[in-house]
Amino acid sequence: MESVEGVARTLLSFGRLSRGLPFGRAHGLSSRDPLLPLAPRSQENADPQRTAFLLRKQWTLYSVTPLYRFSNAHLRDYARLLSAFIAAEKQKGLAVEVGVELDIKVAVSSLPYLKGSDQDQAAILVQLSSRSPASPKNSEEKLIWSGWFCCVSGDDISKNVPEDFTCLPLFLVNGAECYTSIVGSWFQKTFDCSFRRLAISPLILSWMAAMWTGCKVDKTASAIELVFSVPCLPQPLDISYAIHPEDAKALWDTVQKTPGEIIQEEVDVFMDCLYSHFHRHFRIHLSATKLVKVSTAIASAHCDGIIKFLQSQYLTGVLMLLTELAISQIE
Amino acid sequence: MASWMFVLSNSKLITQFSVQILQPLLSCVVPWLDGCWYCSWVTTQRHGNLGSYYRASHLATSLPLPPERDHLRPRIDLVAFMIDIKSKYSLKNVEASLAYVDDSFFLGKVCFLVTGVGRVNCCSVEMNAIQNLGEVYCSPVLFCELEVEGSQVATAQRLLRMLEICAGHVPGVSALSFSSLMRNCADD
Repeated sequence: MESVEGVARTLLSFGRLSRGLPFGRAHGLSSRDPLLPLAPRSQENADPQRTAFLLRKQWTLYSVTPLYRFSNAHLRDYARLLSAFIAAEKQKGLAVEVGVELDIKVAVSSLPYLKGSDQDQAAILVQLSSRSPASPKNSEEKLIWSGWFCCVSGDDISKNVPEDFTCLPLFLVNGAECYTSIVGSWFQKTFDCSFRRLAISPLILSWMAAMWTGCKVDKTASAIELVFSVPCLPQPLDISYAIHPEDAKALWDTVQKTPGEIIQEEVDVFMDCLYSHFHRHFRIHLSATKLVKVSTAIASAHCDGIIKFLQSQYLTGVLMLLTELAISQIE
Repeated sequence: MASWMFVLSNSKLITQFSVQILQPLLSCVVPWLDGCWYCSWVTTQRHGNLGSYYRASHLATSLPLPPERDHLRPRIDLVAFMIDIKSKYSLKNVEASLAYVDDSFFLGKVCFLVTGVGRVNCCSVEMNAIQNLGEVYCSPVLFCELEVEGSQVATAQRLLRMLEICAGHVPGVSALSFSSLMRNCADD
């Protein structure tokens, strides 16, 4: 049981959200400390077409420790080695889908535009596509699995790491779990790294709700939806609370004092307003339940570590927050 | 889990049986629905040479306690406020209840018991808020995980030790030492 480490990790993970200020690890933050702008800012120069394939898909999050002796120049070799590994796993009978003979092709590419600062490593995309041998030779290959490593504004970890290591702390996966475990074990064997599911605590989810509500969206935004899971009941009960986006934004605008900066107190006030409104109508204290999912027009996040990006202009901003969460889990 | 407050009171010596009695008390989980729940029980220990021992624990979900039973209530030596890290509501409840505690208790007779710290991924309460609470009220904050049996016993033992000191049964140590210990830690 990790009681004390658990506490320390919570302290650390919250402390990391406000990096940029000089503070020691042993001390938490007082809630009045302002944070550097972490709310995702709209990226006008991002090319929406290049990132379109990342949107509106459910990505499962993992944190990855630094990779040893990984090089951007050898991506083709990695693809070749990985496809050989997958074929070997299939031979062993450990994979993948019973009864279906699939010819799996691996493509590893770099996404240089997905980074926060110049010190960041370019994102690496791994895609598994398949073509059934029964279909004609020139038929389209179907994408069956994709995963990408990225690091957006991960300066804190990349400057502390020795020479041969590459920092790509965030790994996002879309596809079947069997392929995830095969690709993951290949990376673990080849680069001596380790993967861990990244869970998002209700505290962080409420931060995301507040931050993303405040973001400006061009088109008509969808409703802000919060899903709560009620503990200690014989049957599981989920409460879904949907708020009109303009009302939510108006509420957040009255709460937030300095544009571009968010402090814990403002998030607390915002959430308390929502909870007390709900209590007035339904006599249920949402603050006693567990916040499990937050959906806004920018993105939607689930506490099991599942994220869906909905707006390309805020993609980097959300990735920056997720990178920070991944780094705090690694440390 | 709704917040619940655990009020400890002791008027005589504590024996080692108290751990076995305290443990099931700490392990009962109060339902989360809002509602007052007040329970008290008194148990008598075996009569030894020093006379009979009494020990009582009172639990309530929030303060102020109902005035009807004021005359039956014994002297209270220690007040323990329970905060569940998974429930923001418990923190709010404790903060509201603190207003009803007499000032003299804050000289070492109040402590905060924070449970649920084994599950980092479920935390809804910010650690800083709890640390601030401990600092503002000059009271120790104990972390535990009451859903784990080992931690229950350890926490019960710690609370009982504090209770012994607060009731004045440990010669040379008074409840005031808790506040001065806290101040020393903060300065470090």
